[in-house]
Amino acid sequence: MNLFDLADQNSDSLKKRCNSLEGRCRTRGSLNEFNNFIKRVISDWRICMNMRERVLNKVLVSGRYKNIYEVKKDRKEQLTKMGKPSIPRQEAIKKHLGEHAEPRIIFDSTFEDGNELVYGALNIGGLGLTGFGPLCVVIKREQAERYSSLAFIKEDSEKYVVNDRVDLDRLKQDVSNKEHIPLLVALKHESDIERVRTDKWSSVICCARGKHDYVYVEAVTKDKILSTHIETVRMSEENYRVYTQYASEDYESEIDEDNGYRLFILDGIIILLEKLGIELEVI
Amino acid sequence: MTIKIIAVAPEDGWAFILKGDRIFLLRPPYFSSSQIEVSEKAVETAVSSLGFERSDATFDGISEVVRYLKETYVKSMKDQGIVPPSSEKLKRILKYAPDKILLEYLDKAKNELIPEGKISVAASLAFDFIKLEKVKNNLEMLEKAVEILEVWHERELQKERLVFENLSETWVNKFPNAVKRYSIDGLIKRQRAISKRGQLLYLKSGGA
Repeated sequence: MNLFDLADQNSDSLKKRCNSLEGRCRTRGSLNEFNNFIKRVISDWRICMNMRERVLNKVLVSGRYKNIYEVKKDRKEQLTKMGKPSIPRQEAIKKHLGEHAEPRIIFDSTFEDGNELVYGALNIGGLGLTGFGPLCVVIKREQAERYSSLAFIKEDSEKYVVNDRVDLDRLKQDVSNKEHIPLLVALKHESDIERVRTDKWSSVICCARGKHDYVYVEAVTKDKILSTHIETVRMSEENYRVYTQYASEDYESEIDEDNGYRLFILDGIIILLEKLGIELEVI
Repeated sequence: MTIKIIAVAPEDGWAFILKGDRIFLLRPPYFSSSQIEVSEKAVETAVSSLGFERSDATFDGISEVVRYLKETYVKSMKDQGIVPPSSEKLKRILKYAPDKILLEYLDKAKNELIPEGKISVAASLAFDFIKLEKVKNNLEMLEKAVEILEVWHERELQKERLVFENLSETWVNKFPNAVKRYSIDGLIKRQRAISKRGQLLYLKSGGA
């Protein structure tokens, strides 16, 4: 089964359901808000991936983002080179994922080229899902539009795995291609469109809610995500302040070894970003 | 209280910890305020998609957990042959700091470090800041940095005055004949010159 075909096949249903939503908004007197919401998503949608510092550093050094399967493959090769025994790849992935391996593996293995899938989140501004990593890596819009495969899922894909199988009936309703992403998002956030102020939409679409229950529209591609595809990297002012605090430690006393390394990694990231002409936005 | 690390990303020093029956995400800078309570689902996602590894290491308290994460992080850097960065490199990050943060640090230098007597620390911070384009182009920051340097300069002059005042007493008490012959002003003037050039004898450049 092909996930991206499912996304294309859902287009008519999305249009139909969105027409109904438009009708409901008209009746409730919130047609303007609905239209503005759709326009905002059309104009601003991007794919983002939140990364920890070392992860981004590796992407910039190697030139490409690697999914969990590739990371494991690399580690296996490294161990083999070092003469250490390695375990079969699938087993290694299961071992890595532990008792919770199943949802990811079940989802990926349900689809063609499942082990090539790379996951991100829809972003229309803001810092993304900082609980996953403080650095919000945003892919260029024109690049994402050129990806030969790109689908959006209403929720975290793992939530569609129920009783060891993917709930395809539900997934088929909740997936869209890039052309219809505004419709999928509008359907998901019907109540928010009227309730939430325009300037808060970006944080409603992609945020942590409660005890790390992440609310986001998942973006999935099997295209290779290269470092040259990055438009910008965002970091919170609060996080940057922590780094500046580390740097200022060095004025008063000897900096802690780990903090020194952290600064060093961030400095390396900044240099690599500059070389690629990518901006680090502190917001 | 026993704390268990249930998943860890050693290369970044991030961990999910189990305290009693509650799970928290612990990450640098490890402030207690930055611990976020999370659900089991967040741990699943971290392990399945974010490169975390399962763990069952237990510790006697949070400080032990933090020490372990810091040590593991440093070890992972060293294992990859990454050498500790120089002080100069550490400060390069200031170049990208937003104006707001730079201003905060200049204020800290002025309002905390100077009153605490850490004038030379404040001055070295101001010296580094004043070289930044952002500070050069921002009158408010520039004025603050200059103000700090003026305080430092005044303090240095004061120190020098104090040193030479003490020296006057030493000359008068211990070398009265020299004072009678060359005058205290003459002696101090000569001593200042020696102190300034850092050597006893004046050597002409190119001289034999």
